[in-house]
Amino acid sequence: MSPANRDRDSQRVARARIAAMQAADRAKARRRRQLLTGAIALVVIAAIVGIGLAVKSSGSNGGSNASHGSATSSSAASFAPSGAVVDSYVNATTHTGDATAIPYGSPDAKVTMTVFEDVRCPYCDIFELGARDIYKQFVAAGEVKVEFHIVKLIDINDQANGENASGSREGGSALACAQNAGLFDQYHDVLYDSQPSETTDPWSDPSALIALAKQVPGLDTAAFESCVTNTTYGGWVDQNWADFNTLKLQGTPTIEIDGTALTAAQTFSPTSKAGVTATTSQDGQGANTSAILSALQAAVTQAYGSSTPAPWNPTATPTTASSAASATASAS
Amino acid sequence: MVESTSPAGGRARSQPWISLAARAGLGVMWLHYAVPKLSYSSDALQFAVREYRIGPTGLADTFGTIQPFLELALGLLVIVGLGTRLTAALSALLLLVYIGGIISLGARGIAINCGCGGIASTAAAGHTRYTLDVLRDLGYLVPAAWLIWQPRSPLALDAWLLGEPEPRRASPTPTETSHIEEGGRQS
Repeated sequence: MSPANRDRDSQRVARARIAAMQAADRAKARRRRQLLTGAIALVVIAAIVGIGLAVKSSGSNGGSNASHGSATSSSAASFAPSGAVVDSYVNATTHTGDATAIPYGSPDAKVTMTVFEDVRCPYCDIFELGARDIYKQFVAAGEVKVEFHIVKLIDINDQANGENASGSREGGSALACAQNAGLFDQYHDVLYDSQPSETTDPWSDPSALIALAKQVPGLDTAAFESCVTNTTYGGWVDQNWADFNTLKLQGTPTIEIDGTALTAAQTFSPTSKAGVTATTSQDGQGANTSAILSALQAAVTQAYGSSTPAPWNPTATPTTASSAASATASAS
Repeated sequence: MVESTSPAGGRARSQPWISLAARAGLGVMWLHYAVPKLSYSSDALQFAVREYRIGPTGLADTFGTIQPFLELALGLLVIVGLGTRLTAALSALLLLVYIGGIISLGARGIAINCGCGGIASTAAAGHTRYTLDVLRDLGYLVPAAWLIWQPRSPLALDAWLLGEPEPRRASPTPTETSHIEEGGRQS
């Protein structure tokens, strides 16, 4: 081998070694920079989540304060409909002291049935159509009072799916408007008799709710229409929805008898099927009427034993209330 | 970028553009799902997650609150191309969590769209819906998986931070040759 050849050989070896070292250095530097970009990415993710949560919590605090402020400042009457009561079973957990429940029945009834429902929820319709004849019997006997909480679960569900929905909130507010007129129970029946399919939201339009009110004699007044159109009691529905979440309830309807919730099996019959279009009389067959009846009967027996209270006189209640109001008015 | 006419170079040329498209697709997908959620109340978000009835309520609520911002962050990072491989991997992980959740719902027969938790019966239509949801999420996994494999693409912060990728084939560039000659003289 000539010296020139050897020289070229060693040069080639050196060149290869240096190239390998440089490549290794570059790879090391690259790995370091890759780790760095990964770290930067993680920091950015943490920052966005952190800032987002901070903004959200400050925003929602401000929002709830503002809404609560306006509810109390504008007037106490505009938050809840007339006659609305504090549900002691709910307030034991929520401690809001808000009159979130619409009572149905004698205030003296010893058994309380608490109902969380959504006027758009098909299962609420199954319960209502199947069980209303039962609970109304106990109410009429003066043994049971029902405290209705109207929530907006289906609206929220739809919104979580990216849809605009407000029929639960509008319908709930309209029910409260009917309560103002003393016609809650009648309008409640009409709404559940006419409940639209869950996948549609016609009640987001107040005129649909006003049209249904024409089925209740005396309900469709100018005051009622403006109450429905302005969603006067939307905030009241919102508060019930907040309570629903504070109580960590699983769904609607949730029915509690003296603070104890009925199980799904107690509320619905095994033949009850999801996906019902809640517009047929058959929907009521999905309710487990015998279990609901025996649960109410058991509570009444425990509360009253063998005695019986005076039957509830619905017309007496408003009279008492208004006479009490006039009494206070004259006293002051 | 090394321009080459060899068959291997064909993939090398198209890969960055496929990766760019994958970034755009995955990023837009996250933003599409995240942005509307930003305006939802925490209640709605927490309830939506709680309805899956997986894990304790506290965990579901935390996840529900964080989720929109996590999706937003992943979307933004994928679009600007920062830590592409990592964000693609996190995207895939999150999607797998969603797929797992939906499959678990279907398996347990919880009809979630009904919005009536607590009732163990399922809408016939619900099954179809779940299948479609799973297929949709599997579709979103495709760009994520591609980006884990081939994260490099133009218009990415990664390219700016990491520099241009090294040439695929060991053909020394003029600068490299001059370096080596220098080194050779020293030894």
